Amino acid sequence: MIVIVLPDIATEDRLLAAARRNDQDAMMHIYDIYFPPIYSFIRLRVADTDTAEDLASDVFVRLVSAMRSRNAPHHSLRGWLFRVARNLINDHYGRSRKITEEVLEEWVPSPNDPDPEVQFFRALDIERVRRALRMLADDQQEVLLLRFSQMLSLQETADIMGRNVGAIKSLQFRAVNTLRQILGEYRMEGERG
Amino acid sequence: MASTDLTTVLNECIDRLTQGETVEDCLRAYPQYALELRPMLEAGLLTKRAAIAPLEIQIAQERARANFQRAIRTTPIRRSYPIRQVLALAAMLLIGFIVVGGGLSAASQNSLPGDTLYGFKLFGESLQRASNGNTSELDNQFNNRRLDEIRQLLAASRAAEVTFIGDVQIIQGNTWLIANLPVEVIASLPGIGSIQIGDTVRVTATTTTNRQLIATKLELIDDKVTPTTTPTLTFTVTPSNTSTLTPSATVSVTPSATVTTTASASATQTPSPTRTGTASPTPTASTTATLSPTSSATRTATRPVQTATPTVCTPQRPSGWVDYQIRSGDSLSALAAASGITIAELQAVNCILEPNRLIVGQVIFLPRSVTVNPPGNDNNSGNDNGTSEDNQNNSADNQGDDSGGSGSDNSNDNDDDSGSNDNSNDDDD
Repeated sequence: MIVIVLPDIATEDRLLAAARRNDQDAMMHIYDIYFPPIYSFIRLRVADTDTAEDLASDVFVRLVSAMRSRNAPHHSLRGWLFRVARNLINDHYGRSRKITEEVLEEWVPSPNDPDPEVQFFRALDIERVRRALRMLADDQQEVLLLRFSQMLSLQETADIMGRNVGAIKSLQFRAVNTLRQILGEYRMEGERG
Repeated sequence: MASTDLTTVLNECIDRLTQGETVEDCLRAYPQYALELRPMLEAGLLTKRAAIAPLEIQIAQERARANFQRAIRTTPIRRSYPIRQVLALAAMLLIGFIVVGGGLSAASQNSLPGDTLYGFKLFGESLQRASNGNTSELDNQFNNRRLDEIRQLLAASRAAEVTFIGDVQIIQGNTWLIANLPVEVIASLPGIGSIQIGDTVRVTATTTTNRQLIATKLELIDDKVTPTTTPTLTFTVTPSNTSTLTPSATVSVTPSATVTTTASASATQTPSPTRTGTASPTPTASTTATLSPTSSATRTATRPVQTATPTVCTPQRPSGWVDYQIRSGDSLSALAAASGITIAELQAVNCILEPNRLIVGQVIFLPRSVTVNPPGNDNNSGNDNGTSEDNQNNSADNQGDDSGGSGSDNSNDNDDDSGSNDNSNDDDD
């Protein structure tokens, strides 16, 4: 399994500055480095690989346009890229898409034995995890992907999602717990079947 | 149920995870919440496990690359500045230089990259170059200044970006000796496959506070061989799931010194209709495009092999270092942090081509044994294969068409959906 690590901020700022000077090597470098995380982010939100590829491609084509107009990002290249990716995903789904958020009973860990749930998580197969993720509300998926997969900071995540940090804090809290509930359903099914 | 406290503690723990700590580290810091926190963090970490298969990402990246390159070629620059502003700026610069330029360029003589006056030093040199016929001698002189500056920067443990020209004297793993300076060259730098000892290169590098010189770009400016023919190079690479290639190279040399090189790499999986002769899917493969033919057949013959298996770098265990097997969830930054060294050092020792790609099961050397990750369960590779196969059938469809049609052009604004389906500040259930 690949673990994608974004470059450190200093490297990112150098690359961005070079790209703003129309340095083509820097642009290609940005593509090499940032395509994988952007594609992963989109692909986990959009199940279809071709759509994910198109949207990810579009993010970078837009970066070129932005760099050559007055809209070039001045700071936080990653913030800009994820924000554009997010907008494209939203456009793709359309604003009207209704999220079917299942209401589930609160999962209460048994005080004596917290491990079975964790054990169960670790044994889950990847497709089930992806399915469970997609059952979350859009913003809950986003916050988990940005915070846990992309390892972005609370502030960066807040900037990308256009919310304040307090809202992101409670959103991520709800997101992990909703995910637990959905997975808990799987677990019960497993035990029943 | 969810107290504000727990929300904050959860956030604290996520922050710690992003900084390379483990779930256990955070639970130890907040033992009173451990019971509730553990499943939350484990659930959150599942998003990492859901990561997309590397092969799928690589295929998508290579297929979309053409769109990006076309955009770079064809998008016009529309960043226009009012002409008056440009003229005023030019006039000011000119006057400024005439008035204080002499003094400043004298004062800037001892400045180093990163200093305020350093720009004047370079500007002064460019004027000298422009007004002098014998530029090659001047360039040589200026290059020696660059080398001196780098020694001074290293001696002072200062980080700065530097450029210099020099001959490659030694290549030993990731450490190269160029112009008598030890340079760390990561094996994944583009184009370095074609560089050999004796070549003259332009090095772009950064000095670090721990007195290392790390190359960010190497350009071959003279490979000491005059090309006589243009080689035709057909390169077909089928990447395997683990990105390890088994290369085979066939070289045929005709009496007229036309060199035809064919390198092919076979792999366990066929991900897409293979792309031939264009941008190749592995970073190492692309270096062959810069090959220059030589009059000696032997040199040419060895190159495809060199590029397909990066023999430039072989991990060698420094004494006292231990084996570590990469597990799901590991990251280079976390491993570096846990073992107290820099990512660059880790990369250098282990010949890690791409710092953002680690493969589970891969064994690397660490200065000491570390625990950065709770034991995960990595039985999901089968599923990865399944999903990556999904897009094999469609690979040819959408290479050519522009993908710009997917929505309104709102790339720059934060789109305001904060009211759509969430009530942002509730923190109870």
